[in-house]
Amino acid sequence: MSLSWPEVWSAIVPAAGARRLLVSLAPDQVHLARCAAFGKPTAFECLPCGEDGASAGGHDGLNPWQPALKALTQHLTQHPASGGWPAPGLEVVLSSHFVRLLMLPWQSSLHSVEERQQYAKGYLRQVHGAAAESWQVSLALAPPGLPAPICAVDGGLVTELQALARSCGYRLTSLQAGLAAAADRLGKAFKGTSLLALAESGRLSSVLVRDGQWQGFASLAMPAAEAGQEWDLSPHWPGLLARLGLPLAESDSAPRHLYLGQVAGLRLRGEVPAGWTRHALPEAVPGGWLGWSWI
Amino acid sequence: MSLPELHLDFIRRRRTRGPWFVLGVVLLLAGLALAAERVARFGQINAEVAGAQGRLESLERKSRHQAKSKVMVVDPLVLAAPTALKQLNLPWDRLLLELEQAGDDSIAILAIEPDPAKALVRINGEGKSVAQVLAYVERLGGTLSLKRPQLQVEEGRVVDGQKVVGFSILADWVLP
Repeated sequence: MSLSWPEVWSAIVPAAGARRLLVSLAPDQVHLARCAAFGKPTAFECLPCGEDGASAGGHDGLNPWQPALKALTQHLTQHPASGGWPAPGLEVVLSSHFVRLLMLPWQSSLHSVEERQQYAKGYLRQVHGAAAESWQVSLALAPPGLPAPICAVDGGLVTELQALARSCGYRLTSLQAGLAAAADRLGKAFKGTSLLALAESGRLSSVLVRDGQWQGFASLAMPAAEAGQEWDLSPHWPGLLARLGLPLAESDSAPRHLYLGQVAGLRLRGEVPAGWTRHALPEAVPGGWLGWSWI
Repeated sequence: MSLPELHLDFIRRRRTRGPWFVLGVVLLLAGLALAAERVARFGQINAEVAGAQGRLESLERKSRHQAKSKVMVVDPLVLAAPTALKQLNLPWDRLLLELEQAGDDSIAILAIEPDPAKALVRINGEGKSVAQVLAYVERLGGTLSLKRPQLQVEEGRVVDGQKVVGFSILADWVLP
């Protein structure tokens, strides 16, 4: 794996105290993990954010991410970075509740990144309406002629996270969707037709890979669940596969692989769809989405 | 086909910079440093050349001015000095050594008349027979100092009661 310049710098100047604070933002929980530049996390914390704001998210005109950001703000204000140079990096992964992942159709007439960004924003407005006006978009590279994966997140969240990081002595060095981070981490194992599905409280999100290419994303709203609660996914598979454009039973007999995992201590049960082989993912680790991205 | 990385990060740029990129940057910086040093050296040499040209022009102007302003009386020895210096630098040692090596008891050299300006050497001498003189001419042609030796004169004489053949050889003198 190649190293980015900040990582190279951090490796060269360990005395500068290049540390990282990893954060996972979800509607009901914020997970934090502190670690050295290349080390394993040394301390986990879980901040509940439901008492005074989480339930209001999305109902009282607030953005669904605001309770989580409020809890993070309170925590970082009380525990700012201890100074030093360079400032510790703040790396954030977002719950699937806060992001939109989809495939952007190929357009041969677009060449520059700016043109593709504009096209992506226009496409999001078509799909999601006026709500997409304030979204920021990140595009993945894709071979010519094929749709490109894109991720959209509310621009206000990006702006406020950057401001929060600055005010508390951190540098916001990474912000990505937990599902996309998990897919990048686990994707090397995918073969043929593979589906990565990760369940969190209130949502089942998935990404489909076929023959070495990203094929699509799908996300289903589900009832909210507490940690330790058991979830039966059986009734949800047809809907999820339909959103991905997959029939329940395909005519060919090519093997299809299902990588199923959960976030934040949920217990999953139920049969996998016919024709799919379930593969074990690593045991769930603490830290919410952090468990599927870095740890 | 390997699955391409999504890398849907809103902050961090895509990692396209591997160790080879770092090595490339190091080499680029080294190259730039070397180029800068060369450019600085070039500038320094340029300045030195410009200074030398300036001094040369100044001397030439001064020289012209002096030539106009007064008649110079120059010692003939001073005028002859460059020619003498040039002649001293000629490869005399090699020429004399090779003449000596080419000769033998049957050849007596009476005079050597070099003409550095025309790169010619005339050798006057006597031999015991025509055949020995011709052999001597051939040996001279094989030396490094002389090329295309031509036997110009030959005449029979009697020296101390012995018959000898007088000769004069003109050859190209190979000068460095």
